[in-house]
Amino acid sequence: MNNQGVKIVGLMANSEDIRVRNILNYAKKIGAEVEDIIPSNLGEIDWREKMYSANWLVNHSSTILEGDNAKTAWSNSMTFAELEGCKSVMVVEIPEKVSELENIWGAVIEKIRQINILFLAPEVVVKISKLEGIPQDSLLNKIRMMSLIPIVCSYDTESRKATISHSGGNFETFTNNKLLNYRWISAFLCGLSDSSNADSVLIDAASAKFLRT
Amino acid sequence: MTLKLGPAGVPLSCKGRTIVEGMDDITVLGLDAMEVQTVRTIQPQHFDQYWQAGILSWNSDFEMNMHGPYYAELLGNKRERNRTLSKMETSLQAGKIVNARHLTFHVGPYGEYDPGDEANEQVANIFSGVVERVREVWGVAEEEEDYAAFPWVHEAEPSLVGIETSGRQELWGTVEEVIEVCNHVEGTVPVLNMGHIHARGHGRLKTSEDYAELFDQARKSYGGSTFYCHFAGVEHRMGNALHYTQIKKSDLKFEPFAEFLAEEGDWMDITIISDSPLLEHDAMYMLQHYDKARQRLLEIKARDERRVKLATAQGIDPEELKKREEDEAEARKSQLSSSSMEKAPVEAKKKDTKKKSSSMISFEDQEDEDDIF
Repeated sequence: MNNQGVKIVGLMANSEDIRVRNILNYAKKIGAEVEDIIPSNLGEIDWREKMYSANWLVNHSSTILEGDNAKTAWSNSMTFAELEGCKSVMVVEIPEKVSELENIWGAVIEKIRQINILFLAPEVVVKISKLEGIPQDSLLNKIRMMSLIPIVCSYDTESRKATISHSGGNFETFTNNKLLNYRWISAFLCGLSDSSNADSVLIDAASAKFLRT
Repeated sequence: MTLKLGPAGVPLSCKGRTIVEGMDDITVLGLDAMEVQTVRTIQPQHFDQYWQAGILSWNSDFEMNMHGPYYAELLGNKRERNRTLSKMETSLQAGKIVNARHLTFHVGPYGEYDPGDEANEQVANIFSGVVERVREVWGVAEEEEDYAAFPWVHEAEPSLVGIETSGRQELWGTVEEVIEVCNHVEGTVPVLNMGHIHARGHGRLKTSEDYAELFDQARKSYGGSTFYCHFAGVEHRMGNALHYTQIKKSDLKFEPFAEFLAEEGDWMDITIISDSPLLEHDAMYMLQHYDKARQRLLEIKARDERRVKLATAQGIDPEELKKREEDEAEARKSQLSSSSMEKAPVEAKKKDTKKKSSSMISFEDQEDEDDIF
């Protein structure tokens, strides 16, 4: 497990936000360099400095529900990531109030051009599939095709199945162990070389191959 | 020529996230258009926001536009088509409230059709219905009493329905297809998404001549002079758009387009929407390049006029004077280069000492003069 050199920055909604914190903590555990951003005072955040050497910026869809500061930071972070060449990852999970899903999905769609990896939790796939009227099995591919996001993915802990849609095609692969969503996301990001979308790299990353070594 | 430029959505740098706050920010940046993004349903708070935006745009020179659902399947089976049409309906309603000049729609995959006349006919039929519906939604001023809140219904034409070019081979929407349908359906306008056209044409938009060819094609077969364009950087492979990027990182450059607009765009009424990941930043980048191109053109014109005057005063042909000026410039250039060759070793030495002695930060090496951020 050698992920030295991979740097992940995570935008938290606040200091108690465990959704992004979990991803960062696990990424750190498997060797990545991590840094969090807490938008308590937006004026004090040096976005460029934070993004400059980072490979990935992790954002969570529910952050926008945590007030204006968090929402502005959410938006700003992706812009600075784009400017500094850091790739944006958007994690979409069911919010505490399920009725807010339509709202957060709308906000994600607005930002779709700035997102490089879109992760949809399996329950979200079911809901958005209904919302958009697209069959579940083709949802990831159709979202990617219409929005031009490089990678749209999902992971189901129970079946250990990772589903990936990218510009080279679509595939499913399995991890050896059951991983919680946040662990799979960390492992996937650490396993990806941000300069390559080659099939073999993607398959290895999606099956969390390096966790086995 | 009328050129309007703006971002696709509320600016990224906007502190608030409402459309009206976005419009304020866009105006402050010197831009004058906006494309409101996909709407799902119009809830009361949306209605209020859209209406405020509509009033603001009506009372100013600000152009509002609206983009329909990002996902469409108009050539799919009946169920898919109806689902898309019902999503589009919301955009039509919102378009009226927001005083949208253009409503942009995708067609989606070829679905049950092969590329060709049959698919185009089907798209044309669907869009005839959409145009009709836009007019119905817009309403007839004489029949309504409560239009005081929507002055544009009395005084402006209903929104134009934009049909967007697609960036992938499996999606309906080559330039030819879009123009053909727009040609047959009154009330529609081609939406030329330059990133898509560039990607689908394997990187076809490289020079200002390429843009001239594209707009000539549009002018000849479509006939109108009103254009609505999207511009963003794009990564592409095998004739398919893969991902939007900021303009600077793409092989699709804005400079040739700006050059074309400045030199040959007099006849056009054009709106350019930046749908790059750096929305308003890239819109400003485009504006800056357009201004530069115009400035360059004015300089050339002024020089030519001066030459004609001088030539008349000297009683010679302006072309002859031009030749003389060029010869003189050439001579000056060669003289300068030969003298600099002689000085070069000394200069190099000087530079070397300067470098060693100076501990100050030098900005001279920064060559990126276009970077406005």
